[in-house]
Amino acid sequence: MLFNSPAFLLIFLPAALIAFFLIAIWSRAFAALSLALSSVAFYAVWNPRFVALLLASVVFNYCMGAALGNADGLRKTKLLLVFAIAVDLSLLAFFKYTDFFITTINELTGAQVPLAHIVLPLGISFFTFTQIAFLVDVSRGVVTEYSFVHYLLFVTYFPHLVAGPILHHKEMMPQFASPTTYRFDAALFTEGMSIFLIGLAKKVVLADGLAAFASPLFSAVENGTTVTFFEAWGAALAYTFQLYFDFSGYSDMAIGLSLLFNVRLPLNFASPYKSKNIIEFWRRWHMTLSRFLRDYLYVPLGGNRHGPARRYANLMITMILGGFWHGASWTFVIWGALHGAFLVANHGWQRLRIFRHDISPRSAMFLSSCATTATFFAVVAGWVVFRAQSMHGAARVLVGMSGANGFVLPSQVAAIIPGLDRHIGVKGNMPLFGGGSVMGVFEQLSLIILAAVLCFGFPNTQQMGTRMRIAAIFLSIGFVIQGIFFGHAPSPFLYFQF
Amino acid sequence: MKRTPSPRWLIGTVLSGTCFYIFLFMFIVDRPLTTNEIGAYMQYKANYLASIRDESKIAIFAGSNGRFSHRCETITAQTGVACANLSIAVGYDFTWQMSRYWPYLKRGDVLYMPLEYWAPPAGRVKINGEAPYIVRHDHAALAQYSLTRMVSALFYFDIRYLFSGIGEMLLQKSGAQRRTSLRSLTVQGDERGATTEKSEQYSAFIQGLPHPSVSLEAYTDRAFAEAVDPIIETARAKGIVVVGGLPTAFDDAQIPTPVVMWLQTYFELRGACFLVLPNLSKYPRSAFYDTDSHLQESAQIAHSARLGPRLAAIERSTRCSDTVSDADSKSHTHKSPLRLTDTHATSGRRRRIGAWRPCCMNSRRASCPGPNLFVPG
Repeated sequence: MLFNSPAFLLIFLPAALIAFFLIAIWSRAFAALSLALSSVAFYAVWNPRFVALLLASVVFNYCMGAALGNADGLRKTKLLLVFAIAVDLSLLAFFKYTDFFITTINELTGAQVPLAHIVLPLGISFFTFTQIAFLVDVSRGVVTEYSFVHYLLFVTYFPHLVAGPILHHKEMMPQFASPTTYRFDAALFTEGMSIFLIGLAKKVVLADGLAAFASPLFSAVENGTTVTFFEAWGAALAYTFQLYFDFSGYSDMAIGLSLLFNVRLPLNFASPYKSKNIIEFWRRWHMTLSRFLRDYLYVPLGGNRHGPARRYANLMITMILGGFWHGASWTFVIWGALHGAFLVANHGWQRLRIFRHDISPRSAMFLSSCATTATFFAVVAGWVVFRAQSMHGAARVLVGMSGANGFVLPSQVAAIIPGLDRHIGVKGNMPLFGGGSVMGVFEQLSLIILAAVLCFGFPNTQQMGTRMRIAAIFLSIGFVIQGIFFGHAPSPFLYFQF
Repeated sequence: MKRTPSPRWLIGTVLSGTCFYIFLFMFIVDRPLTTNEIGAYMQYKANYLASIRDESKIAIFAGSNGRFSHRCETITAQTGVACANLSIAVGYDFTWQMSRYWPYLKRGDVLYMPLEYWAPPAGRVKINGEAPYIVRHDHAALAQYSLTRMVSALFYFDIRYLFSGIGEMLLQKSGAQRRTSLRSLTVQGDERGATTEKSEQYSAFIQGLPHPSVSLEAYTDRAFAEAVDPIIETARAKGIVVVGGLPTAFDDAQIPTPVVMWLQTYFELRGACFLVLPNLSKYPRSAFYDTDSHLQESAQIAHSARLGPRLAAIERSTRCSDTVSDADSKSHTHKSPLRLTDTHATSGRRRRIGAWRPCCMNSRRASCPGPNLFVPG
């Protein structure tokens, strides 16, 4: 079930809310249980067969957590922790990476092992990571509460179950235990609803609008199509903003939905495209994943405690594994390595301490804009690799973006600016640019400009004041209703595939 | 709580925002170069139809393939029968369009419908492409919609439509004109000027298009019948001869025989004729202009020259049964009994095609056998 589907909005959500607050009048424990069961039902709508897998994972990790909590001795704790994490990662590897490993072995050895074609259970990457974090926290002695119902709710809680944010046990359990969570709060409800509506607008209006201009080109390049400068940049920028509005829209919806139940989720995005360097970008983009990778991978690897060389190696390892977490494809590994290299370069640059001498405010502003622009374009190049289905496809798009395949516009678009056709190539129809129509080109450019203005010129949902939130809802609500009830079938969130 | 609007504010914002959206598209945002053209096209075609209202005539009604790939000018010149091309573009409600033309069609006229291969409507609520025009310019028609349809029409507009509208309004102010418009129509309503020279800029695009394919499933969800049935029923009530046909397509298009048979059966069971050219209206890609259904002008004329005598024969006899070989098709003024076979121009061999049977002119189901007579040419 999708947050942007009529079934969720008109049936599931009202039913879950009413059940939760009505039962809470009688019993908080049963209200928590009802919310957990609603969440399991939410998951079951996608594929009931995997409910057993989800519940088995929850029970296993809960038992291992309890065992870890009661374990005496460092050695026993470590053994239990390694065993539990190994089981979790094996499960993830089986469902997510089996075909990838088979394909790689086939390519390397020439063997013809048939692919397993295993269906990826929705949200497995997220609920696995959430529970690994729980196990590590237990082994560190951070976890103090072991209510099974609350643990079940912590893992399955439907606002975050399928695509995050990745939660910490310690930030959720106190909320589930608090009596105020079980009392309807009109102010929180309204705040949650306003954030949810803005998230919905990000997804339904902007992300889905941009998708139509990114997907055809990324599909075409896989079939060997050569793309030119404007086509390639049009699709790369469309995808860059689509991904941001899709995932940050989802995160806003999750945060907003959770507030309806008086539960606060951590932020996942903080205007990432405003970042002045890649280090800052990763502090603003998918913040809960960055936090997880930092706390449970980078720091245990040694972090920055053993000199620059080790630090850079740790960064590369963390980012490569972070990329691999996103999907079973070499493009994700290379995307992770690319960002690892960006981070290493960024840290190296900072060590050089260039431009630290006194500069005028105007120069600082100029340099800041240059830094934001450079960071943004580095990220765009990364998203091309991330989005492409193969490195060949990614290379074709990047070559097109470089201008090596020429600068071509549709003849009718070129005709709008007198004399332009003398300087660039002209084609009658460019189906990969603006969907092949003049007004499509206008739509694509307008959407990209609007998205850029919103990303660079406006505060994010959490920073918005009341007036701005009201203005955003006022301007977008008609398009949201159109998209949900009268448009095409609801489109899944991009991060569901991870 | 400074960042939280009060519940009353939130509800007010949602309601007023919704009203603003509706107001925006009912009264402000316009698409002068595309949506508004529908009204102008319909008026243009209705005017011509009115001018020949008392003559026996052929009317061609389809999407843009009807306009680009069929030429009434040729048909009239070749057969002497008046002809009006009523086609505009695919996606507009047939009943709504034809309501403008029915007053000018009379008993014995032929309504030829080479409708585009069917794709079910993409939206969850079935609403056609005329909705924006009706919401913006035809509030009387909007008021006659059912509540469901009216709400669907009012919520037709996504953000891309908004940007297109703004773009078109700006382009119109700057004096920009569309590639095709009323100026590129013949008097009879055919598109003209899609020359081979102009088509060169689209040739790479045309050659690169994937092999088109048509599926039978697209026809079986009732949407096609719901769209076309009212046209056939009204035509029959007025004594107008409906002739189903095939749209133009690439010669490498995958048009399964069951689809053609389904169409034939569909039209025949409703007492209409079904006209299939030996080539199934398929032409090499080099004959196409800017899409996979728009012929270049020379091919448009040639295609119409093949259709014209056949349609004229039906118009004269008011019977589906006909034989017109391509060789014979140069002049047709006789009213001889029509035979049951069609002929390949190239081979000279006669092939039998199923639609050409007198029994189906005004038949009931029992008197109209199934589509087993169809043999593709």
